[in-house]
Amino acid sequence: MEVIVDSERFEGTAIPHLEALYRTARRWTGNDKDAEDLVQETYMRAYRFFSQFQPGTNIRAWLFKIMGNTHINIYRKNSREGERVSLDEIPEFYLYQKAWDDDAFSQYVSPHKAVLEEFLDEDVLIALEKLPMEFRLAVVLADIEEFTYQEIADILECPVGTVRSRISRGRKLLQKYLWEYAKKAQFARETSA
Amino acid sequence: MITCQEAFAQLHDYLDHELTEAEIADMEKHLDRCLQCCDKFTFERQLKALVKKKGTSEGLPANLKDKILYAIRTVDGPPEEQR
Repeated sequence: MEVIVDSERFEGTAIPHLEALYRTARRWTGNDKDAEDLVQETYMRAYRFFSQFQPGTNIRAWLFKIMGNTHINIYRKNSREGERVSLDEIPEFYLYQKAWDDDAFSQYVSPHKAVLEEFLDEDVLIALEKLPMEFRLAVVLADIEEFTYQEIADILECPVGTVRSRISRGRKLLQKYLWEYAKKAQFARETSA
Repeated sequence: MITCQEAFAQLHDYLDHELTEAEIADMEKHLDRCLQCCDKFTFERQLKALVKKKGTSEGLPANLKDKILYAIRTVDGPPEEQR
């Protein structure tokens, strides 16, 4: 009898966050199948440990923390991302400056606004997924789920200072990727005109 | 008043609502008076909002919710045993 009551309470509390967990898992893993596996594993673990959840505290942050742990474990087991990216040369306001310095975009009254209109949904999503893992995890949690730095630090189990630096570096790299898409879109339009 | 360099250093904290009230006041005083920074900071805020918009545009895969509900309801044994 206990079990039925518990699973109902769990479902009512945890299932409303499924969409947020899934879209984060989708960006973190970069594909549908791994995202589904990660979310399912997260829910099973959350259910198993639900008695440890303190009612009245933040269930959303608790679920994301479980997903963060689960992801770290799977990721450690499955792969090693050796990708090294150099960030030193990417200045702050990279995309804004590129738009203003670019011959084609500087024709617009507001080159930076013109750039923002170039992106298709998938450009932004693919750019996010291209980020090296540690930046991707933090940027997704900050930009899309709007967690605080402290919450992100808890979810990813790292110091707040690390979160801060991953977010700022990750965003710069994201802007670099986005600029490549903006140039491509703009070039495609010019050559088809 | 804070300088442009000091404002840049707080860009991400500002975007992510991590500044204290006093720091926000200093930042906004700067942005009020520095058109260049105001323009750039607005751009960064719009870009963050764009990422959020694109990042929340997809729905769930079909059946995922059902799969999870089924897994939860059967984890302690077949459903009929719980009745």
